[in-house]
Amino acid sequence: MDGTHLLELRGIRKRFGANEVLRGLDLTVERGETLALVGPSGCGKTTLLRIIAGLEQPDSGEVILDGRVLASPRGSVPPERRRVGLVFQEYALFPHLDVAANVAFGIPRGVDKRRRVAELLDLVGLSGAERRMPHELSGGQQQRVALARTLAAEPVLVLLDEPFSNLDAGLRARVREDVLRILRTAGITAIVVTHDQKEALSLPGRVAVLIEGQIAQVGTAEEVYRRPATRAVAEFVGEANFLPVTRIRDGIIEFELGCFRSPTPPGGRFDVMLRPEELALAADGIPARVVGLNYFGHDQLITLALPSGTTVRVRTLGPGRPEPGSTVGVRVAGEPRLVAER
Amino acid sequence: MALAHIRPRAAVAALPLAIPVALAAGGLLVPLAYLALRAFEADLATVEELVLRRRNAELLRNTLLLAAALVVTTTAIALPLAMLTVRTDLPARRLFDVLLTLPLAIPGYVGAFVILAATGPGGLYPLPRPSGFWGALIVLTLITYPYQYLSLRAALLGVDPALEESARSLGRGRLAAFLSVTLPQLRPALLGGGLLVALHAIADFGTVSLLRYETYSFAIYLQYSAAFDRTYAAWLALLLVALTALLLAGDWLLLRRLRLARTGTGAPRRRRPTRLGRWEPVAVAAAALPPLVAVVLPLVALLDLASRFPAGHAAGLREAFGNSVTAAGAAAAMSVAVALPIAFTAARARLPGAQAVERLAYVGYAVPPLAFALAWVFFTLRAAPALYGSLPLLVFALSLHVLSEAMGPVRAAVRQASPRLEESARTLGAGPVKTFVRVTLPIVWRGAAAGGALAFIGAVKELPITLILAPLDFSTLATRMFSYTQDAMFAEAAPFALAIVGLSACFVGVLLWTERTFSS
Repeated sequence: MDGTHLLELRGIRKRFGANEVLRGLDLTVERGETLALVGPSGCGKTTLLRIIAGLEQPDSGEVILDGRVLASPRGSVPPERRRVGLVFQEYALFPHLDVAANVAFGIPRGVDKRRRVAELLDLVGLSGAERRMPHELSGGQQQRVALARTLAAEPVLVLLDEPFSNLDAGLRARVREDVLRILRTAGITAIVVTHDQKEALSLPGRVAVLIEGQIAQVGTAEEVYRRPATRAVAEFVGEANFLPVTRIRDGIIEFELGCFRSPTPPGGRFDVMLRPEELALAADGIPARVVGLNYFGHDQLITLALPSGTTVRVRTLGPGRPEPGSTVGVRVAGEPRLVAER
Repeated sequence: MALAHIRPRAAVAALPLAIPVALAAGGLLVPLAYLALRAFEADLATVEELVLRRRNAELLRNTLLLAAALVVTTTAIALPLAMLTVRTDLPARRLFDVLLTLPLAIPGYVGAFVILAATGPGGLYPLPRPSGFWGALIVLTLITYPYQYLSLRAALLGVDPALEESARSLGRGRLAAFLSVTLPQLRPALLGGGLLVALHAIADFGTVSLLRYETYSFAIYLQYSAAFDRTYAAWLALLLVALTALLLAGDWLLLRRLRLARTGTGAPRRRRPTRLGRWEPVAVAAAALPPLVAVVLPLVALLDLASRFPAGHAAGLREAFGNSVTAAGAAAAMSVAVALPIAFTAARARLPGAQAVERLAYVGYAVPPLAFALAWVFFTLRAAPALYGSLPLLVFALSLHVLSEAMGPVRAAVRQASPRLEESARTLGAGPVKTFVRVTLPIVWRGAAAGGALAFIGAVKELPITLILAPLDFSTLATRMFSYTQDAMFAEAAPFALAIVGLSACFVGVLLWTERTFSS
């Protein structure tokens, strides 16, 4: 094992009744990184976090943290001995304890509790809130207390389950900045789970896309957006057009809107993918009929029917709204690439 | 790679939960099963003779008559009262809500005692003294109508006013709209409240035996205390349990049909209260009457009688008070100790049928206490004679009898203690024991205290189980009061009744306090 991996998941499987939630999942997390784990609702994100934290046992597979096997077919380390912190979606602050007691709950023996609580509350910007009760705090403040409480237990890995979903939109961006700053200051490795692909792409670290119980792709936000591994990833992280390949000759891929050079992926079906902003309206382009228009203010999404009958969506900025039913020209304005069906 | 602190997978903390659950299930079901065994020990001819006796038909008729009449009278009182407090601008509605449920605190034998001691010629209330059927019906009506009232009140609050309004707009008058739209929606509540009232009538022992109305319970006690034909007593108890089971099954079937027929209700808008106008004084008087007759008049009579209490009996009163507190306190503590794991199992266990365990607690509520006590007598005489007539047996049987009362608040508190909180504690480094002590317990203890208070009240008031299972020289407030009343020593009995009511009142105070701190 090389020294940079902090967490390694190998072939994790988990079934609830007839429903197999995780299907042989592999993932490694590097020391010090903030990994965004993103996937559609019900893809197994929360189950995976609970398995890493030790609150669920995998049916098979191994969880290895910092060289220690935490879970394997032979048994499992209980959650309190894993040094994995988990910040719940609903924060789960102890309602009968004040802020200081909540934060002090997990402080290991031999540490000066009062000083440590003060340090952590300072870190999360809540100095002076020691005596307040959880129900007296706003959502964002509860979030920060939960984070301070988790850090107080000196975990080597922190898991955050949908940390921003309980906050209203106005507050979300600011709390996100706060949380990322706190994690960075603490120098801690973290996995942030979210179902919101925009949020995942805007986080600073790598993005892991979890689809149907498996990691479909891990990479930087740009890699995942620009070079999705599968059609499902492409569709999950943003709008995408898929066009059939019409001919392949000498490494040149031909399709309805043009051609490009690309090695073909091994096996299986694949299509040409273009994001809506990678198409443009142009008088000298391929003629297409306007069949739909969604106007969003700063941009608009135009649905076009190509001569073959395939429909594509084009995102344009600025003025100029084509009439539905009229004919316009469309051309490629970005970089087409091949994406495998699965 | 280090294999540090690996623990083999095991059923999660199953044992501490399983033992109390098994204890409750065994304690409720084993004696009843033994009762059936005991009854069928007799040879066929004897059984035929015992079951087909004319007297059994009479007892059945008397029991059913009382139950049916009680459902009618309580509904006749409760429905108008619920309408008044839910749908009109009756003044001090919150106060009336409390006052109207107060009669629940009066045990049936205290009611019967007041009728015997304070009515008739020379009584504090010189009215003709009702006895037998009418006496029992009057007493039981006054102390059980709150069940039907609470049930109907909750249902009326849940009725969507838009339904009645649309009936009005479709051309129905006010009364026709109520009868055709609202009343059908109240059927599940009527059935639910009616079931509680009927169960009470079937199980009642104190009222019918003091007022001499021969139902099953009364006949069983006669057999037990006077003749004691054991086989016949076992058969009567078994028939009583069977009657209860039939009632529960019938209610369940009816209720299931109704549930299927209902559509979703959503969160209804609050209805504008009907204005009482010049009828207001009449309405206030009508709402004040039941608590006046059921609580105030009996208390006045008790105080009046207690003023003639012979001072020489004070030591007996002190002793009975201590015994009551001991037995009821231990039973309440035990019922909470059993209710907590049951509630946890029902709320947390990912097992099919985990909720059924919770329903088990209500078996103890439905089984007529006299039959339950008798079943324990038969069972211990055969299986563990040392337990017969011992304090631990009394406490155990009482705790199972009041288990359902402890269950309500305990269940609500356990539902409040989200598993997320315990999981948080675990990921913060706390083991299972520390998690329970520092997180779970502080969250559920108020519910446990409230459940304990309710169970305590139930155990202090309880009569037949205590009468039959208490050790020979162990008399409680309830048993002393009962025997004095049987001997028409009313002045001697009155302070015991007052002490029971007073103890109940103290624990109602505990209850209100826990509720207050709950909501803050």
